[in-house]
Amino acid sequence: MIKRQRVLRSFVSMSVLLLAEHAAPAAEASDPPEPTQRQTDADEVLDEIVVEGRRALRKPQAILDWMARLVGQFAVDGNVDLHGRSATDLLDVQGGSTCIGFGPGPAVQCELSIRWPEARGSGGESIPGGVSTLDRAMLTFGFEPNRIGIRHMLVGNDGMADGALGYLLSGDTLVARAKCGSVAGNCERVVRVTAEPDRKTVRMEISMEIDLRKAVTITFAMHRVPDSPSLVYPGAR
Amino acid sequence: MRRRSSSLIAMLASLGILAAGSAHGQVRTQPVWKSGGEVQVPADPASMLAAKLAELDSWLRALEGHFSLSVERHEIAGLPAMPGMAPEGVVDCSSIGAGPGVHCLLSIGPPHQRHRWESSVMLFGVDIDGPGIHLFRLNSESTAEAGVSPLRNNAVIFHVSCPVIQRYPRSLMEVLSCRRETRVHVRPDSKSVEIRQYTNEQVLMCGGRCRVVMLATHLEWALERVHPERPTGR
Repeated sequence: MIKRQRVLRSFVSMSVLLLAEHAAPAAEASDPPEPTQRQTDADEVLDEIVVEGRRALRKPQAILDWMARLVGQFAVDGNVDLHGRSATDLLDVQGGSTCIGFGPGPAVQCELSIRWPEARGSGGESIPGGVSTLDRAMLTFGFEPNRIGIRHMLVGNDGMADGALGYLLSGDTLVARAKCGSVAGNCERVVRVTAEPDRKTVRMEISMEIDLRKAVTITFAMHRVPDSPSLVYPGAR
Repeated sequence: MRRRSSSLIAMLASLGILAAGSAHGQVRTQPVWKSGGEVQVPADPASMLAAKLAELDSWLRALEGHFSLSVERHEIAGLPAMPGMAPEGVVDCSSIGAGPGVHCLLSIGPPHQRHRWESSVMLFGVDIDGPGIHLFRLNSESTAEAGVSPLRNNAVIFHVSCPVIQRYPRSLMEVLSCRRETRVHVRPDSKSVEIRQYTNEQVLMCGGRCRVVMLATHLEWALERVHPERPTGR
């Protein structure tokens, strides 16, 4: 009986954790322009949900400190998972990234040059993630003071833009979830960026679900190039 | 008989290639906008989308280049924001890879004092769902705002909820909310770009007794292309 209660309790706490991780950014997916009273209430409700060890960080200085960890030059490695849509399922990723700071925060702009071998579907058709759109790409992060979160946008070498408002969960990981801006139809995109306080490595995961099925997951680690300079442009004083 | 049928197949194939070429050419070369602003809309949705994307592509590519910036107008509540001093600046816009996405670095400040200029970023990309233009802006305070707009008459208009920034002690003036309309217009000759920004802040002012007022800021930038040739992609 005690064992069953324990299992039930752990199931409930797991569900709350999962719900928290998914619900907080999902609330921002449509990104409404003005926070209404109803939204503020919803945020408070979400705070109640997220309280189980996954509370979104709502301290502006901590968010700015987190963004500062992204500034620098990095070597990139990782993989692309095409989730069975191609004969080659896992593709090796290589490249580099230069992230520049802007203003007192600083906000961050990363220029990515990330490549992987081209892959096609079993019938020779093009598939999402089959060709790198991140060689080159621009990824920017800025502080969103109205919602106390981080807004980002990624523009790839195909010109398509994907952006969302995300929150820092667990202090080191930004999670943003939104409808895809680069793929029409029923497509959802989740971005996770983990930047540890030691500033050595930044881990990113960009995944896309099309028609509720995982289509592509790009996972890469950005390793700071030793002794590389960190450039920050001056902003408002 | 066999010869006739193979000729027929060859003829149909040629027609198919011609038709495909013509459709391709329609998207790539024929203008979507006529001089009077009348829209030339292809019949089927796929062609319409392709034509719209081609139009967005062409608008974005017209943004690429090196521009000088002058402030045409900067007023707060109808009064000059910085009397006696018109800031100036430079704007560098380059394409992202081979695609039409554009990254612009803006440096603006008091004339002849480059060390005091502030930097900000504007990032433009295509939003496939609209379809339209997606703008992301990093302000000099490290804050971000983003919006999506359809392209009409060579211009995009973004309505965003802008960052609430307290510039004065709260006891004097507290900004409650901020709405901003940003209009980016590329002149048809692509030699200049006009950026107009209307910001409406709802402000609580307490001098004796408190009252809520709307503070309107009107900012106009004129960007003149310095180098006629477009830079290579980043």
